[in-house]
Amino acid sequence: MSLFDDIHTITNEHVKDRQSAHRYLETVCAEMDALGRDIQAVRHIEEDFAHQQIDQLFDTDPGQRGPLHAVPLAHKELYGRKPETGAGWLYEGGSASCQGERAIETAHVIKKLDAAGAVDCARTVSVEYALGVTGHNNYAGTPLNPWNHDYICGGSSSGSGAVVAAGIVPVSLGSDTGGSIRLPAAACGLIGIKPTHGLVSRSGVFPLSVSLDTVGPLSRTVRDSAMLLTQIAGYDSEDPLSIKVPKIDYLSYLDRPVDGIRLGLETKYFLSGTDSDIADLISAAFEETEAFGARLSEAQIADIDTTNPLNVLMISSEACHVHIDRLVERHNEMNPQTVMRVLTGLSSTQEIEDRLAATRAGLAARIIEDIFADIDVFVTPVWPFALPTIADSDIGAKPEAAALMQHIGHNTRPVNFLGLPAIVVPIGFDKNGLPVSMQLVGKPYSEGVLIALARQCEKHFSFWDNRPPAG
Amino acid sequence: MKKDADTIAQYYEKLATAGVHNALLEQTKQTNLELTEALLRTPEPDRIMSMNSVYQHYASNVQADTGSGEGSDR
Repeated sequence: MSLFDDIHTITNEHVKDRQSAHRYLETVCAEMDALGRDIQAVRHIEEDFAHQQIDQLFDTDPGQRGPLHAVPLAHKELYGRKPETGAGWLYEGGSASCQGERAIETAHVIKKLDAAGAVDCARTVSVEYALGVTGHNNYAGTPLNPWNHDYICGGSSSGSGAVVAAGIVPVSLGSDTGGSIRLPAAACGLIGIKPTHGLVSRSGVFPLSVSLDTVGPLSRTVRDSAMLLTQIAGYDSEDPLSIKVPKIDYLSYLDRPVDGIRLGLETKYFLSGTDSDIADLISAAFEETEAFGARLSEAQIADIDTTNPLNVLMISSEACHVHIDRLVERHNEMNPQTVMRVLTGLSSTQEIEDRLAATRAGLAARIIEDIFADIDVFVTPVWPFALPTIADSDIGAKPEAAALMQHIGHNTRPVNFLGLPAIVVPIGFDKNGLPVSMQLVGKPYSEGVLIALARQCEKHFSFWDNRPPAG
Repeated sequence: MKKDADTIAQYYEKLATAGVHNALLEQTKQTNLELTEALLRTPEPDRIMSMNSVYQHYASNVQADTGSGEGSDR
């Protein structure tokens, strides 16, 4: 039995019967407790609950078993779980200011994974309130990148990135408001999907920005992310922004050809805002996609630069609604960076917030029509510079790093603001041996196309022929 | 919270009383001002829309696709 197996291998080889499923869970929880805690990625392990889930799963009719039958998974600590009996799981949002708080409901997507047979065994570290992109967290711990422990995992789904890259679980749910799935996925060499606006319910997930929050998977393989997305997508009346979209089996896109797909490399905003060593790697990878039939062109997106600061304004304004009362009471228990980011939204009046929402919708409608008139997918870097070390990106210790760290979301925030789907795919390594990834951004609800394209990239770049030395 | 001017002012008072440094309050007000200016420089849309109305339009064009359920290529 080895770590680093994908869902298909786990279901077919490791959890074939009740006894082997319990044994495999014990192995995963032991790794979570040892390696997962060594890399500071784990918040809490719920092994007893998970064993109960396995017993319930094997009590059901074999014909009723789901595609994730008895597969142990662990998710970002923002995902609530309230078991039928007993207390809810810890639900602290990565913050000392929420110490001891417990979930009062189970997140909608966690219920969907339960229904698919997944076993829920742990929660992983989040940046405080999911409001930060480096992964630093003085309270819950700063996860160490499995590729090199001196480096950050990115955030805010930092713990999820770390446990998947370390091979402990095949996939983990994160959340993404300005890049918080894609940045850790890219930093850890993973596939990460930020779904289209309204496709996946956020109910029961610790909120940051009601308009911008999205939830999705981080995994080592495209197939595993496609599997998770297929399970969690769907309308939920409890999420005010949920949208009814016909059911899609994203796994069926894995084999679909992408010949003739029109890819655009956006040069004016994304590439020019990225350090040349990373930009050169992305440009070279873009050229290589011609090998599997993509038609390439340069692309420019009018007004895309306006979306970045507006995303920052929307996050801070809406985070203020969620957290201002707690901040008044317990700001001394919060990271000073979190306090600053929340307070930035306080002076936005309702009039400004209404204008911001209307401007967002107007920009989205116009820019989407403009971009996708001539291309199907646009390609960008994810990180705008080589991944920094934990020490160099610690704004608390190095205030002069703040401006540079603010730039981390340059390539990811516009995608949230426009509501578009994106997938990140690792394509190689930087000068320090850390993963480099490109971001594929598609039309609304084109996750299937992005998965087909990402699968071709996965085969072409063969990134996971390597393993993290520290994993 | 209500985001009218009076309520916002009350929150600033509460924060000052709770010991949040004035310099931080002023710094974050300034950052908000700069971000708001970026918003006000962006032309208002011709017609009022919501993100959900924009995306419902695209969702209405999506075809159900339940595929094979597995995908063969591993």
